[in-house]
Amino acid sequence: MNDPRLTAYVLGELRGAELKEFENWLTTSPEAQREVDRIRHISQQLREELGTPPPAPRPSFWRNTWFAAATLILVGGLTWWIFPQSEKPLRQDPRMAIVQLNPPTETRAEQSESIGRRLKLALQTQGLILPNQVSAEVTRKVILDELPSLRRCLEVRSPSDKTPPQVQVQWSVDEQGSISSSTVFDQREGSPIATCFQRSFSGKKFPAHSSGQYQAIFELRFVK
Amino acid sequence: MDRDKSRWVQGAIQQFEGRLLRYTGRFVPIHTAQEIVQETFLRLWEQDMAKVKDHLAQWLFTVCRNQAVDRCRAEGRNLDGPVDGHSTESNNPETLTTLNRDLSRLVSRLPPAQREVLRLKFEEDLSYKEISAITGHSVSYVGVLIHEAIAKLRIDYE
Repeated sequence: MNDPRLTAYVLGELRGAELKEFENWLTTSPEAQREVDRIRHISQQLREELGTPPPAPRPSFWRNTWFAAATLILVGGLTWWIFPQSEKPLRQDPRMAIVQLNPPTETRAEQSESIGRRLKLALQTQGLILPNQVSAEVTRKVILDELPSLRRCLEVRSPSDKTPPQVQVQWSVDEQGSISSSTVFDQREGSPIATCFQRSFSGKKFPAHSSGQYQAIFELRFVK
Repeated sequence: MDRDKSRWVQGAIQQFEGRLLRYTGRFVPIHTAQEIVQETFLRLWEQDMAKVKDHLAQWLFTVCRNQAVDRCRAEGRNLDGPVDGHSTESNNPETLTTLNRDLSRLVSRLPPAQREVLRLKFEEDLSYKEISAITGHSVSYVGVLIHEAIAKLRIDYE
């Protein structure tokens, strides 16, 4: 018996007159009833086998909980991995907005746009709509222009250190959309990489461009 | 309005992110799947909420699939082709953990079109109509594919 309506019936896909007509026919056909039972059985097995929820994705940048502190300072963050990622779960600050970047597969311009767009989404979807959105340009100024320095710092890691570095950049955005300060650090506090970052970036200023749409001036500094 | 939309998008992310990653990860390497899923939510944010919310699952899966198709095309392969020289099914860590279970293994051996619609039906609990919109097959052909897939599984499994 090879009638797709049998499967459609079991899966609840028949409606209205078609359903009524099928059910009438079913009462007259013991063979069709047996077939329905068989399909129902395998469908149940399939639901049990395949219908499990997917494994939770790696903590994603947009699901993290943010809140506006009394100072009305909003904190955003960015993480990327310069080296191939391990399967080890990432540690992260629950306030961090996480954006993954795959440098080998993206050009510099694509990275800039990609990070900026994702960051924008992260900020927007948290309900923290900024008057002047943090743009790809701002992100580029903070992150990508300093990529050579970051790379240099990443190279100082010990050869025995197998854990991929997790570089995190954090900045604060006030309610007017101005970036007021940022930090860059390795997740592992006190590591040679973190020390290198501190040396390289502490107190550095990054004036943002002023295209009219984005007018943020921000300072990159480290907070121990 | 923006706050409503924020809550809506966040809800969509919570509900669908893992499912979209699982689905898209069968067509493209996992880091590409993550990119695609992120881009999908970004596009969702840019949509008119009223126009999408009644068929959100269908919209999300369709946008993910279309991007996967584009990526595969750019690499000169079909959506059903191997990813990085490996089978898409066996490439997926989630699938690897289930391969020892008979039924999952049988599903992974189905022809790609049958496998895709079957997974959309039983993993994602989507209707024939939604699956039709996502895959571009007609509703009746989706029914045929699922019916044939189940018939094959019954023969091998029972």
